[in-house]
Amino acid sequence: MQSVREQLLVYRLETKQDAEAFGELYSLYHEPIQRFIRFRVSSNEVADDLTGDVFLKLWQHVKEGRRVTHFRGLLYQIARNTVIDHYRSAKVILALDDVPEHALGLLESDLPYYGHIEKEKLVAALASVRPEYRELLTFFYFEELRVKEIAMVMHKRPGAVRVQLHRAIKAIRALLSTS
Amino acid sequence: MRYSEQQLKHSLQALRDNMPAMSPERERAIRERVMSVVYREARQQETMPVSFYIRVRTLAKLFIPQNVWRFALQPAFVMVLVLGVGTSGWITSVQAASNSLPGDVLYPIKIASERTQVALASLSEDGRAVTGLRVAFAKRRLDEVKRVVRTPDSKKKAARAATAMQGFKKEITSLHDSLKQVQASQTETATELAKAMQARNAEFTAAISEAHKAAAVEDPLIAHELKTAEQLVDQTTLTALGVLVQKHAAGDPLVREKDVAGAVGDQLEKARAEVNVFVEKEGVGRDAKKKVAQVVREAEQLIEQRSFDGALERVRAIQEIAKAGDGPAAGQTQEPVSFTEAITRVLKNVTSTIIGESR
Repeated sequence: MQSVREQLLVYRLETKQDAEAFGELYSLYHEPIQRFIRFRVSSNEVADDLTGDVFLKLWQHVKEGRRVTHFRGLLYQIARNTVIDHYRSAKVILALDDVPEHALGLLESDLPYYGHIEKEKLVAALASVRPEYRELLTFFYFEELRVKEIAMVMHKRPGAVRVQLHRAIKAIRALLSTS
Repeated sequence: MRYSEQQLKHSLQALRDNMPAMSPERERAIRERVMSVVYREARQQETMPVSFYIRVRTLAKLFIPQNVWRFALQPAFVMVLVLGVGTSGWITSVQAASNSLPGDVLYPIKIASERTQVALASLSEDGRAVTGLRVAFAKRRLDEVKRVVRTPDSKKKAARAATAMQGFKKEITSLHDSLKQVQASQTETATELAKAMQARNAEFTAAISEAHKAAAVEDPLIAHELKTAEQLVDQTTLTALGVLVQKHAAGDPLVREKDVAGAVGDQLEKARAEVNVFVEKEGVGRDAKKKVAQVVREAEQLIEQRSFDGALERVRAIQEIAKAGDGPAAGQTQEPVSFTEAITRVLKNVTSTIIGESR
């Protein structure tokens, strides 16, 4: 949920195309967006460059006077499309959803546990779950997007997202309990 | 072991939080790359105008849940605006709608408020009030076309511009109808109306041509609407001029001879320029050229002799010849006729009128 301060910044950005407001929103969101992209590409450098591209595309969107209905949804939608474009332009045959977890920096931490669950177990379950479920779980738990925002990013209806999310949680819990 | 949803959530978020962060140097470099573009463009570019409605909607999002806004407050907001128009002319809602463009939520309110004004003005039985409003609204529609063609939204641009053009044509058609109605009855109103239309003719033509230039990408729909609008303006101007000529012949003191001579002369020049385009084309016989030149000469002589009725008749004939040279309008199934045939036919009509005049 966006704070009132964030929403005021979005208001200034949408109605006045305020560069200062854009700068503040950049400070708030550059890290989550870099992390989101880092999960989907193979190196930190590529993730950093694509993060810059995402914010420049967001600025173009605002500059053209187009509406911003859900700011976070729009930002993640641009980020997702930027990653897809990156794979297309680089002619990488690997599909977005097939990127293996060891290439996504998930195992870079030395911690043996993530919360209550062992690291190896959690990463293995995340790698085994269906790609569309994995994407939904990352949007919901990692990025903490609301169902409506996820629906916007994935071009789906909120009802469909809700149902799929329920199935995704059920699937990963089942995988964790069997492993 | 079966993990709860809460445990799963905490574990996934812990995994996220342990991702290595971007190095400060890299972060600074990317920020500089992005913000240098943003600041440069923000300085260079003129801010896009944002409607009052968008401002209210965006601000409302801060304090009101989206569902409440969409299903309850938004319709209520629009209803309040509509009711506001019904009860009093210039309250906030109409002012809010005054900058709207075709396709905007508030545009129908703007049109409704204009109709209300025309309806109220017509109650006063003063033709000049209605005419003044119609001329002002026609001008407003042309301004809307210019603004719409400059917007970046290219998908609906043509349809939005066409809506404004249709509004413009509606106003001009109403003016044309009013001219015809008052022509015989109220002398003063007819003269005023004809004068107003004459005065605005150049302004409308210039605005249409400006709108044509502003439409950078040549859209066939916009081009067609602009062309038909221009023809309608010409037709109405000619009718207005006909009224002035008639009133002058009847000895109306409000119509000065000098003004009528100037206006008929302007129309003759315009018609001559149009017909010359076709006369200069290959395949037009010397005989046809001679006939056209003769009609133009006759019109000039009649203006000099202050016989404006006959001069105007010839101006109409020249315009008709130019139209015949332009070929049948889009959508017409009429057989194309040769330019020489068209000249012969039009001149035959003119001759019969002239014979009628002399009798």
